[in-house]
Amino acid sequence: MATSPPIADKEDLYAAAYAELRRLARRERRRAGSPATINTTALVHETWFKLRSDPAAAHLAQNEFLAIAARAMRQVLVDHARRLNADKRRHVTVTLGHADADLAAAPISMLDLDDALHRLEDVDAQLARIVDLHVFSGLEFREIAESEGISERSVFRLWRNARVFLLDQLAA
Amino acid sequence: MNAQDSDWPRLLAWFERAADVTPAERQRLLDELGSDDPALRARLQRLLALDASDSDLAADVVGWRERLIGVAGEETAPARIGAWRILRELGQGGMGRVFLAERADGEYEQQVALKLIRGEFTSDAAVVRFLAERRILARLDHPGIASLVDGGVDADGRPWFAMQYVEGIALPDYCTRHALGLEARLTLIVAVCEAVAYAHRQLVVHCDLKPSNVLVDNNGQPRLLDFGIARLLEPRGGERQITQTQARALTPGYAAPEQLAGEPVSVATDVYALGAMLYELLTGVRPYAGSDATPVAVAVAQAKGEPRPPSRIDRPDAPVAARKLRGDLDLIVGTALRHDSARRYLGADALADDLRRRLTDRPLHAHRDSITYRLRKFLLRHRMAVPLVVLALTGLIAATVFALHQTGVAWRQAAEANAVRDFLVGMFRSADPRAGKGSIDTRALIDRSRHELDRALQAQPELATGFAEVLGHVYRDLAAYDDAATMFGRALTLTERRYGSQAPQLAPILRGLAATDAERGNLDAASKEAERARVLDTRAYGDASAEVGADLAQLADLAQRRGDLPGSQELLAQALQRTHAAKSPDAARVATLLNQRANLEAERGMLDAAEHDTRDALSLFRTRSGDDSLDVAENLINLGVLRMRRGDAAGAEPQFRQGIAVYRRLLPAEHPLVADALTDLARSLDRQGKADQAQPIYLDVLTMQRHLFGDVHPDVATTLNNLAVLYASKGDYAKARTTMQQVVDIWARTAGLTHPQAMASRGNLGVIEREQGDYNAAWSTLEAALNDYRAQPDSTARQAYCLDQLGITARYRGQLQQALELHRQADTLRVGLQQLNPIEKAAGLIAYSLAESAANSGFSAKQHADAAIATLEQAHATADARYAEALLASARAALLLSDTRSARANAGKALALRQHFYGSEDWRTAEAQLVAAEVDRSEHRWSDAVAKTRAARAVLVAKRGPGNPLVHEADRVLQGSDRPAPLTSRRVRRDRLQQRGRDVR
Repeated sequence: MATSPPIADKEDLYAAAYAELRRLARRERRRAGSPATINTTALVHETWFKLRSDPAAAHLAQNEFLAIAARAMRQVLVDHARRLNADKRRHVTVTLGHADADLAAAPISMLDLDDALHRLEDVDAQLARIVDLHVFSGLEFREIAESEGISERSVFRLWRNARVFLLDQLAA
Repeated sequence: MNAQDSDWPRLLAWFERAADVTPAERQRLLDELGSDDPALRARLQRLLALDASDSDLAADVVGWRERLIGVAGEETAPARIGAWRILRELGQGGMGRVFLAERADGEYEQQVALKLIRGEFTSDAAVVRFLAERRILARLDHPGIASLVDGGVDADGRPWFAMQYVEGIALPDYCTRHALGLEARLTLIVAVCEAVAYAHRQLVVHCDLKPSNVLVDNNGQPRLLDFGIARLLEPRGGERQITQTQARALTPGYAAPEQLAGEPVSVATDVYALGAMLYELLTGVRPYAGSDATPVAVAVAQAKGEPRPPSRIDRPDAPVAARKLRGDLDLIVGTALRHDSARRYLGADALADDLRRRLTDRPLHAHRDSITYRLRKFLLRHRMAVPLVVLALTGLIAATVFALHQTGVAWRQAAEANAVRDFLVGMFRSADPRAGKGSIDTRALIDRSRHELDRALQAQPELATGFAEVLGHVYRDLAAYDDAATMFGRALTLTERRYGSQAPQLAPILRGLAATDAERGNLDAASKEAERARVLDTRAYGDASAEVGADLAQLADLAQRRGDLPGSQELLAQALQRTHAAKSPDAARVATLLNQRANLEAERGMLDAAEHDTRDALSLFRTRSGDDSLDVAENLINLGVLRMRRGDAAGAEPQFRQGIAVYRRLLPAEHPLVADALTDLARSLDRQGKADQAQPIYLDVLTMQRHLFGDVHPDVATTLNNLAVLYASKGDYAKARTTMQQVVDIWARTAGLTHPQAMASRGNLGVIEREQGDYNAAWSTLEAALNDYRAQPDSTARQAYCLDQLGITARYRGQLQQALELHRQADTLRVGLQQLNPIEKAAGLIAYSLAESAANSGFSAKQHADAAIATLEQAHATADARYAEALLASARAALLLSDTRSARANAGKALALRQHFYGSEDWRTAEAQLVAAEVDRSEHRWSDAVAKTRAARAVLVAKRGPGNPLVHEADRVLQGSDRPAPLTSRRVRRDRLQQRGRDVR
């Protein structure tokens, strides 16, 4: 892995990624005609394409950048959800697919998810990072394994831990 | 919840232990924990339940991610779009929505798939272009292509397309459903390749080939959808709204590296996608499967290396046995999927051909590297080796045309064709026409190849237009303006015939023609052409566009040529403003415009503004291409040149050194640009009195130039001139005179004796003759130069220079009244000049002052000398040799006025400066010491005066000979009475020789 850049660079990059994602999200919303549709993965990628020429990104390893972009994406979604709340519009929700029947029926708020992720960060930052990478940057376990320098099996184990934590928190 | 957070690490540790064990073991663990901490046991049980609720975590997440923010509010389908009635929605994709539609006006019965694209056009020009290009796509007529029937822009500005509706299923699904074997799969792909190759021959690329765009109909015929649409939505000329999504809405796994990198796409991009589909048909998975969830992941995987060969995938459910793939098919797929697009198959035809060869067991072509690959490698290898490249160029142009012809390069990939073009034109630029030897060969080669090109291009009118334009630029760079005009005219005719007389495609050709006509002195025609280009570009791209910026820059150049410098500057300001206002300002264009303006400002004497613009251009070039680029080097050197013009040689030196360091990294050791830059550096050293450092540099440059250009060449003359000046400054006038005579002889045999630099060297020769003591030769040389200058426009400053040199000669001869008259004339000429180099101005004032001192006019002599000092100080030129000269002139005048305080101060300062620059054994230091001795004498400190004078005299005799006027002056001081003698003796002034002037390029 490349040597880490100074913290200031990473923060700059986070700010730049956040700004770019916000801009793209606004554009997407304007275009789609529907205020709620955002293809998050595509946005993260477009941001990556744009920001990778940034000098601050130049000496960042791929995975470091994706982690930053994933965090920024999450922030954009949270802010978006907050705005919708403020607008007294419908709560932005997600479902957990064909998970536990109870859980599947219960829509989960983006804001609750974000809160839960913040708590997970306090418990174990690596677990939260893996969720960010997997959920917001769309990385597969194999890629996360490479990026974290651990085995794919370990990633699966950690993801499983993170997931039960989140499910526990969200269903609480 | 907070209270529990501290338990989480413990809880998760238990969870891990209990998650993957047998139910019995799990129960045992729960019991173990329960006896200890019942609350934690309950929580662990809950986690295990939550965990068990999921069988496929990863699948969960995909849905979670995509639907994270809710589901799009369903738009209702429009009833009608264009002439089409919407029947029902067929689906939604990354690009937009697809409807089944039929003609609403009942003209004829036809069902189409109508695609409504997300995104909108923001300018009318973009819509016009979109509709024009749509018609080209509509011409595609091939059984393997679902042709474009109609298209337009709806009321909201969204583009839409109607294409033949194909009932069929996607290619991989078709193969699976019919359990097709290897041969059948290959045959299908061959059919797809043929359709793609047909489109390529019609100069259309697909750019978004993927299984969902290849439907196999009920007859087993593959049909390609969306042909050319991805490219159609690509912006040109500033329309940038659509692409970003479109370009990024690529399907990972099928998108080529250049697409993911946002680089120009080509026929090779389609070849990559065909290769990826072939890969999937053979292995059941996409290239980079497992890491192709996202464009980023694929780009990362692509960067790591080419995909695993199909035979190495070896999945149990693979559609074709791995052993059948080993060898030929691995090679074919590998060639199609090369990371470097130049190394892939030349086109879909070539891929189809190798597949057919595999089907019929004939040897493949794949192992041979493509022509374009070899061509590009050649270009890269020889980029800087100018003479070599020049020799090979004709072959290259022919090969390029051939390669383009072979690949059926799509004209709409102007990017690639332009890259080749810019490359060729750029190479000619680097083969500076001044590089006399090379240019003749180039010229002959181009002439010879023109005929061959004509034939090769007849089959490809699109390319013929492009290459006529290229040859126009090439001829212009070779200063063959009539041929250039012919070529541009031809390109113009062809383009008008194809696109009409209002097409924006004409504008760049018109600019080239205007530049050519300007060179031919045909300024009126040039203005009309440039103006026409501006009208066309304004109509097509709007006023605030880079294209209009380019036209304005051309008009500015024409204004400059007409001598309308303020008008030119105004036009350039407008050009810069347009270029900045363009949707995507091109840093290189902005920087080039800044360079053009800096040049103009330098010409107008606005050195601050010129330096400012040069700095801006430098930083733009640096941002764009890093520190190591020729543009960066050139701007560094221009900064140095601007400082030299201010008289700040010390400030110029580091700029030259930086620029040279860049050149050294980029250029061959012997290159005209390196020689020029070294000359600049040597001049700045020379000006600072560092002659010993300058001399070896001049000698290196001389060797380099003689290798490059031969013995008789203007650049050789220039360097010899500078060396002669250097010899003169060391007092070696005999060597200086023979060298300078060589310079004048070279000019007589090349550009003629009235060439500006020849004139300068003739002036220098006169000065050297005078300093050698040959006043008669000096007088006639200088007088002849003066008369020739009088016949030249804008030569006022040079006439003044000659008058001053004649004045000094008169003073040496003792003809003081004539000297004063000559200096007065020079001074009058200079008063009328708006812009005057401070060094030159000071030189004139010093000469005048010395003549006045010689004629005992101490008061005006002091005034003129002090004005020279002030001029130099104001220009920060106190390191210039003239500063000490001015100080000494002032000291001599002060002595006449008995102002010994001022005389002592200035003489002391001059002596210190000269000692610093030349050391104590130099005749110039001795001259300063002599003046200091005269100050001592005037203060009646006889012994000091005698000691100093003796020391100075010894140096003067050794360096300048016993007959030198300064030696006589020393003798007079030594014989002096108790009263200072009036300084009526002839003062010898060594005058600074004029060196090669150089403008900001």
